[in-house]
Amino acid sequence: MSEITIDALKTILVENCMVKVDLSTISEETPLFGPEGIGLDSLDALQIIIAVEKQYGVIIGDPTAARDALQSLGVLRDWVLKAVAVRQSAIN
Amino acid sequence: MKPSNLYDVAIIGGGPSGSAAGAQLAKRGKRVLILEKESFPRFTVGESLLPHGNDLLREIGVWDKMEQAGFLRKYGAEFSTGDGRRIQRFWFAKNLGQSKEYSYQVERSQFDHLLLNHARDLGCEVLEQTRVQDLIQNNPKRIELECTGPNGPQSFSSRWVIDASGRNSFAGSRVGLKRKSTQKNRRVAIYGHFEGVFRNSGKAEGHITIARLAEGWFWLIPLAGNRTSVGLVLPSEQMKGGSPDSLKAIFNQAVQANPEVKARMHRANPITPLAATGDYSWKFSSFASERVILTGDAAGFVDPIFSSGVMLALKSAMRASDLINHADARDRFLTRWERFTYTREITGWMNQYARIIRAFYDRAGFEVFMNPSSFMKIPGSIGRLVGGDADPSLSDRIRRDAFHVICKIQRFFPIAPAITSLR
Repeated sequence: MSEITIDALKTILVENCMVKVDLSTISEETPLFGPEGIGLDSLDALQIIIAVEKQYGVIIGDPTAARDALQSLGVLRDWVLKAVAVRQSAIN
Repeated sequence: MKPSNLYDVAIIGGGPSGSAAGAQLAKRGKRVLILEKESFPRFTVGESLLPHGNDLLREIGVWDKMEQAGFLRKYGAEFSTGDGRRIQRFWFAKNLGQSKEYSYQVERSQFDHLLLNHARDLGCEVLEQTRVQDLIQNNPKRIELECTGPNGPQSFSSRWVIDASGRNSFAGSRVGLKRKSTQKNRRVAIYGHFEGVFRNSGKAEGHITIARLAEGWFWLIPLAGNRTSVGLVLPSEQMKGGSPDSLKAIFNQAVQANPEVKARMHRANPITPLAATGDYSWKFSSFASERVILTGDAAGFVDPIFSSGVMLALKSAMRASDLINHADARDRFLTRWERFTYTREITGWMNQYARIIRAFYDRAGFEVFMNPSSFMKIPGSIGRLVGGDADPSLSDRIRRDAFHVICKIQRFFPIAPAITSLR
């Protein structure tokens, strides 16, 4: 499993979606969806979820949870970090 | 009585409100005595500050000391559900601008001590381990304070008294002011400090996490180092017993039952014993008599969900010191009008929070809160309140009203998506 960083998540973003803005302008706080976001749509969201689930082995459950988890790269990173930590403590 | 025991202002309580009022009055040349029953530094909770308090700390002159003190910067707040499926992360910079992009998460033993020492540096006399036992007014221009200190009974005399004694509100009832409850339900908080609690990464490391449960909520406040303040608020009927063992059992059960908190606490170790205290809001119907002014929690207690306590404590202390300064220069007591406007202004600030706190506890209100839509720029006005802006512009006031109307509609017609764990 690769490290969970903002840059790693940005890579997932460009590999799976049509990002129309300059990557360097996306910070951990930038909203991904909505009027203030970078113009992603629900199809992009689905692609990101599938990629994140595959790469980090975590399940992002229902659509509302996914929407909140994907509000920004910072929130997504912490969401994945928490899920991975819980899984590891269950194994140990 | 020796003349050396005669003060311009006596302040009961050396917490942030008392220290701020003392600092302001000492700066203006008043002879100030601060009476603190404990010996500082001492443990207390309420570690989360709001950016709207920054300017007040600057005005007192203590902000630079705070920037040097090594506290953890807080750039926003995060609200979630106990099951971890819903998350809303707020950033102060978005709604308050770059000048108020952060505040601090402070260990209160250290922060309160810093403020009290600052008041000392400005010339306040501070007596710790000194408990006020009684207030007596025989002379219309003076109040006698009977105290017990480390060396036995002591008495002081002062033209003005500021009651900054916190939730004990020592003076309020003694000068005939009436208390009233402002929240229907009684709740209890169980809290302690832990190490090894999972925290957000990056700039959100210092975010407070508020996790809403079906009944009640958790706070997780990251502090400098590896320390985190964690507290659980529950309806008081769910708090049976109250022995240390039952506190622990109730707390641990709630941690295990809520995946968001469980995930954050799975490697946590307690570093203080768990403690419990009542959490229900009330206030006095008036916050001032002719020569006594109540500030901060001594005037009224606001449920701590939105971390408004220290900010309101500082803000009321500034107002109280202005009032005293003004009246003292004219050698008179506080007029009826001054007492009325002081009470009205502070009540106004408290009501801003009381209203959004009611929305937070209401299932429908919380669903709207967790689903900020850009409609009429309402989220911005709520975001500014989350940052501590208790003096909204007219347009923000209208937006906040609209927010509460939407919360009411949500009870009957779903506008925001339902949060199933609360239904």
